Amino acid sequence: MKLIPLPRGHRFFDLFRKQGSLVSETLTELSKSLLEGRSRHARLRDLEHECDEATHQIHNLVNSTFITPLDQEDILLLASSLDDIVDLAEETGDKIDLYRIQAITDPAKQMGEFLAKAGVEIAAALDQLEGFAQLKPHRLEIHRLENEGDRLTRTAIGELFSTVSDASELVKWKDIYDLLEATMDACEHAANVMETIAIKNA
Amino acid sequence: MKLSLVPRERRFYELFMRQGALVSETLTELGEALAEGRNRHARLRELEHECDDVTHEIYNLTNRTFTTPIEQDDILLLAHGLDQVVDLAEETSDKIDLYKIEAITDSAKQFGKCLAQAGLELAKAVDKLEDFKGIDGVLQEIHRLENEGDAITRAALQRLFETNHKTPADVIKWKDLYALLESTLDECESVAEIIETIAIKSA
Repeated sequence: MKLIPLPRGHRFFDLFRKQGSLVSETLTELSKSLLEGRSRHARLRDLEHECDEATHQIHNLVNSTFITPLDQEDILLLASSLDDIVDLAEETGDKIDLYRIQAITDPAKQMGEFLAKAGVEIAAALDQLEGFAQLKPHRLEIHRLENEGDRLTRTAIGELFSTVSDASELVKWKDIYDLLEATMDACEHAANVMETIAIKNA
Repeated sequence: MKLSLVPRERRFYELFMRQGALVSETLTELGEALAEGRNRHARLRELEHECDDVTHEIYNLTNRTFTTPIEQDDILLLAHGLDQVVDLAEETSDKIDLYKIEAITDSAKQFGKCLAQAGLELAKAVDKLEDFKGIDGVLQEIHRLENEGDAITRAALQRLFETNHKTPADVIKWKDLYALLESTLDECESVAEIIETIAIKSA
């Protein structure tokens, strides 16, 4: 019998790649819905379910694999941090529906575009996770997007209180900006997890 | 060529001490800004950037060092935790500006004092990473401050919703600010817990 230790190792990286492309697609969908002012929440929910599925597969694989290519805890942490991004994006899409938001503000559209870009970077980083060497430019770009996104949402929230007095409008938009920011923070968190993994496996 | 293993280990402690000093300065600035009702956001942003730099230096050093004096995971966790404290303090101060808060409430002032004190204690705790001497008392003090802070924000929230003369905007702004202040202090407590874990592991 020939020992084949590699295929299972590869399987992890395949699943992370799958998760990465789901993150990217989700954030692109969210961005499009913000730009068009038309909710695509049904699609976002489908993507969220698919990502849940991939996350579960990773958990099961960790449970059934004796020697994992990365620390077990790191695998689980990365999988759940990617899942968080998709969950938050779906929640944002859901809230836009639930709050019956009619007109999407410019900062929200801009934030959507930043998120879509961050999604592309995350997918690219996960695509090359196996070597860990190509991570840095993606990580730096995600940090940059997070910084810009912070500035954008904070200014938007400040602006909101100077221009809007209707209580429910304030509550709704404050919540949506917070969710957009939380989604971006989740992207940065996933990038940090990848960095930690890269450092440990260097 | 002499192998310089020790100097590199020392470098970790030095960087953590710097991060600790930055945390303390940031929280003192925030505490004073709240007490004076005059925001110092520009200074806090500078401190936040400085802390980012130190955090990255720690990450890079971990990356280049084979034998670290503390487990790699714990080093990264601690550096990240300290950085988070500074990030949250900066965000609080930014929001005070963005919301054009004119009068700081007494509760927020009182909370600022807790934060400044927690900053001092964190700096002390980080200074003791090498031998952990007397660290228990310091960590306990941080837990105590966090409890005190919780009590302050709970009472403040109750008052916020009790009095009817506030506009909805004021209620939302202050609810957010109290939550940020509380998160900042919660993060101080998480850092204390990380340090405790490190102390236990090296005992």
